[in-house]
Amino acid sequence: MSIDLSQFHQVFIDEAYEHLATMESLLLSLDLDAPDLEELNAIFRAAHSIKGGSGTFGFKDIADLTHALETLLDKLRRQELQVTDEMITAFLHCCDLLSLMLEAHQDGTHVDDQAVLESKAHLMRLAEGSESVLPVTVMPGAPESTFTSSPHLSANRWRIHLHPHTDLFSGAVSEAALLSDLAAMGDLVLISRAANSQRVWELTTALNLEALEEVFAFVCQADEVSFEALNETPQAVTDEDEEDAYGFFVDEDSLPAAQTIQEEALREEAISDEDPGFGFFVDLESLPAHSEPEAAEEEGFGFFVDPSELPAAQDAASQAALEAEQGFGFFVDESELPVHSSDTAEMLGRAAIATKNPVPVAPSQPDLKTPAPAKNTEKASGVKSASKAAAAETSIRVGIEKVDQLINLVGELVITRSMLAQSASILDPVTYEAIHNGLANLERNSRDLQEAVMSIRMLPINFVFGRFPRVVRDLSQKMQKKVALKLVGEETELDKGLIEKLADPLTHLLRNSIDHGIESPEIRSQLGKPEEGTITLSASHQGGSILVEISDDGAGLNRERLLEKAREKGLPISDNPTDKEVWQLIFAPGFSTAKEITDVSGRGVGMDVVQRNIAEMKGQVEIDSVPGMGTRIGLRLPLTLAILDGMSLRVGEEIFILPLTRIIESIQPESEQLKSVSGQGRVVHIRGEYVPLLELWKLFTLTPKFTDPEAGILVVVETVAGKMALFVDELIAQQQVVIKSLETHYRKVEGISGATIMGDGRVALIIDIDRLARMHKSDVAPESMSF
Amino acid sequence: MGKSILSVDDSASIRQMVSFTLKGAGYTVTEAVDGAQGLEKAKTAKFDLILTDQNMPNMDGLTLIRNLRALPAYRSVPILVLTTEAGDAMKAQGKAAGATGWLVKPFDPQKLIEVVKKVIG
Amino acid sequence: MAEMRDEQSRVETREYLTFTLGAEEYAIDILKVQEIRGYDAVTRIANTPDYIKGVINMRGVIVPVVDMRLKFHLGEATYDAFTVMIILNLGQRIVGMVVDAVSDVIALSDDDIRPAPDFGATFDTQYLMGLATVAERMAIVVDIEKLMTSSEMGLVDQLSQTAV
Repeated sequence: MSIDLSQFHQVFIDEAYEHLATMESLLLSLDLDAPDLEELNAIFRAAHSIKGGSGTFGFKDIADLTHALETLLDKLRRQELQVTDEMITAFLHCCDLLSLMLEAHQDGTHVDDQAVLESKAHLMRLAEGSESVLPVTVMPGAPESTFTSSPHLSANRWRIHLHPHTDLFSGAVSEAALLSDLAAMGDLVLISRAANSQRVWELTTALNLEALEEVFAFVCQADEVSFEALNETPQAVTDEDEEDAYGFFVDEDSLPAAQTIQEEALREEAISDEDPGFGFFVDLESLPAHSEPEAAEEEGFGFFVDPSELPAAQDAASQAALEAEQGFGFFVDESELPVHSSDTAEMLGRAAIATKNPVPVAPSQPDLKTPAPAKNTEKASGVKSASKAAAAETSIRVGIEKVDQLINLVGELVITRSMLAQSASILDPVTYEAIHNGLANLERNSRDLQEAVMSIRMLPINFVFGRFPRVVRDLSQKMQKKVALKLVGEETELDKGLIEKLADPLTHLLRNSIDHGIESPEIRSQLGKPEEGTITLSASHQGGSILVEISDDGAGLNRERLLEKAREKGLPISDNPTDKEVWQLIFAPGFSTAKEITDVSGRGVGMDVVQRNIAEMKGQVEIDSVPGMGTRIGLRLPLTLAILDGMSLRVGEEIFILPLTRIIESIQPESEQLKSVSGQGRVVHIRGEYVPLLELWKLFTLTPKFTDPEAGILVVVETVAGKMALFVDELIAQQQVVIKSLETHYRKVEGISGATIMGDGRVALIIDIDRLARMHKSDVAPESMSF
Repeated sequence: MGKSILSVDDSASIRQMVSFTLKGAGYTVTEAVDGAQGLEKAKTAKFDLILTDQNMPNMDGLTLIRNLRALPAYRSVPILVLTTEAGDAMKAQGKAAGATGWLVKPFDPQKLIEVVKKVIG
Repeated sequence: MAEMRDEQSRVETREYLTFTLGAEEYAIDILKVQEIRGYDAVTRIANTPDYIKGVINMRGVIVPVVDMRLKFHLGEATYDAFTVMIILNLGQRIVGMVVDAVSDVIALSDDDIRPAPDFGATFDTQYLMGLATVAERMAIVVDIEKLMTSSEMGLVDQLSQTAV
């Protein structure tokens, strides 16, 4: 039988990525002086899981590298070794490689073998407790893997301890010659080197122990060298028990399957030559006693013997031999097991069926030559989806398009409900009480449903924050600065789409903070600041939006330098710019204040891109900076790209949606508040401020109910161009709307950011207030509006 | 119908593989993500065989076995440890905890079926 | 001979939906037609040509509606209970198209479609596949996908959209 393991590959790969992420974050938070044992255990488990899975699913290269990782981690958690910074760096590097290897398995690319071997060797050396020594030879072309799931593997790994009585290599023996001999046998790695020619190597070779001994026979006395099999393969046997793939601590006849085993065991024995890799550890009860008499019997089906005969003589010797070749064992006496006798009747029953029917009918029907009948394989594919669904009980992975489809469908449901409600509103509430009650329930349920479905898209921001400890560690090392990163509000949830888009801008801002913000430790101590700078990355919900802030306690933005630079670049600056205006200069394309261009912060292609990215997410960037105290950059973003808290408003026949977060207030103006300013069109005087009047009906060429602002309502909104007063007929209601794209089937529309579907099934357009403000500013009759 | 097996492993891919393999062989498989959940599930339903990983968060395999063996219902239900280490130390620990046997990881699905059949038919 | 030719051409027959605009009858590939529905609940879009009537909600997606009568100055653009929209599914895009009336589904072979003369017709000849005679009426066979995605219609973001 063959079960196609590739069907589990994606799950394994996803899982491995998760483990790597876990490892990385734990490694980064590990306190070197007092490592938390539980954390070390968790790191170990992550490595261990990757190793187990990769071995099982045939990713030998990954299993091999994680084995080295695990070995060192195991020593750490057993407190045999102390965690060092070098180890952490090696671990992180190894994690990077593993992640590349996973990628390579997914898209068929190739990972640098040399880097993998070096990482492995480095970890092994660290595990040996020796300081960094370069590997003697690393042979990328050699058999790549020593840790593997294959029972038929040919390469073995040996640890060679050379402990001569004399200083061999200072004498007649050429170390180089020995090394070249060993290297010729396979993949050789120096593990440790000490005085008096003491060496420890690890050799991966297809050759056997004799061949190894032969090499050393010409070098030293037999007692001066020892070979330790790094027992991962059945062939690397020094102790047979070590090599079992499974085993039992019991008599097999005490196992529930004892009765069915007879025949099975017999056949097993018959095929054990071709299928090494499992065997019995202890007292394999009736294997010889019962199977032999039956050996003559036919193989496709069989009879079950009388249970009374079962716990019979045991041939420990032949059992042990078999076991050595198998790979499992039992710890207990098989006769102790419950099913042993209770199942007898059933087994006999089955046996009777089996007798009549040579084709195995019961799943337990023994048939080792073809261990899983075709029938079972069919069944296997049948349960595939079921087992997949059941597999991850705590979480499932679904394509985002499925979630979006769900969101659309729920949106439809909500619309249908309101249409129903509209139709039912004419029905007499008393006579049709049941309908009205039902509709009320439906409304509640569909609202809950909508919220629940929307929440599927929401992820904690830690998905993006989580990568930054590593970024900060790497960058601060590179920049020779001391930086601590504080994360606040990592559990804050926002839309998955936004989270993905946040990664790049945040990385950039973080780099800027480390590069330009935080001063070098020397300067900091001169300034009386702690040597270690602090960068705080925080996220919080603020009304309908989310605020992500990066603040540092560094030098702050230098107003003079920014202005100087701006003048140099010929950027327009007003005569007496406010701080805010000066800070905005860093968003100008090609603006960089670093005295020298570094490879960290790049060449001034950055802040403008950051601002553009954030604007694409319908967000805003805010900057505060105090010289000598630090800089704070705030990114204000909508909670989700899919839903908007809006205010619906009417102009003539049409309904529009205005993002609620932008609304400051709405007023009914008095005539004396309305003025005309040349070059600016009409303005409204609101508490000492002159706010430009945006007449929606004019901008959108509509036929309004009111053309006189006094009759309608003014909505004061915050825009990129400052406050604006939007004149509309009336406000309808505050509501959450599902944002739909106009561009899917149509195209971009000036002044409109999207559309939504209202309760009556009609489409309402969502106003892009920033764009509208720009349109207004550019002219009273904007050129882009006239067709 | 099919014998029922509890598979305890913190790795989703291994759990899937084990479930898929054993279900394909006609067994009923219930999964648990760690020892603690395994113990809970074992208390609420009766299993004919328990397969458990050793290294897991919350409760490891050996602790699970000890806890199970303390339950009258599981005093003699076969328990196999799926482990990457098959050294003597592990065997001694497994035996002491009350495990029935072990199966070395990585293993292929066929081997799993083979061993499970050996234990519960 | 004639019969044989019939046999052959039957193999290559395709179905077309015919509709009228003013006095003219048009035919479009029926595979491009998603459904036919009444004209209702169209949301206007500001600052667009008059023939772009706006957008509608088609089961959760926002779809633009064009009035062919206005675009090609054929027939009279009235909107009532009898006004029909043909919902076109053009690969990636869905578009609603208002016409005077939907008349028939006809089967045409490639042989039935004759090259259109340069008759300075309402439609630029590049969107015409030819002319077909059906039951003594003449139908103009239109490559509707090419027409609807053209810059001339202004339904798609393209560099030349300002040309409208």
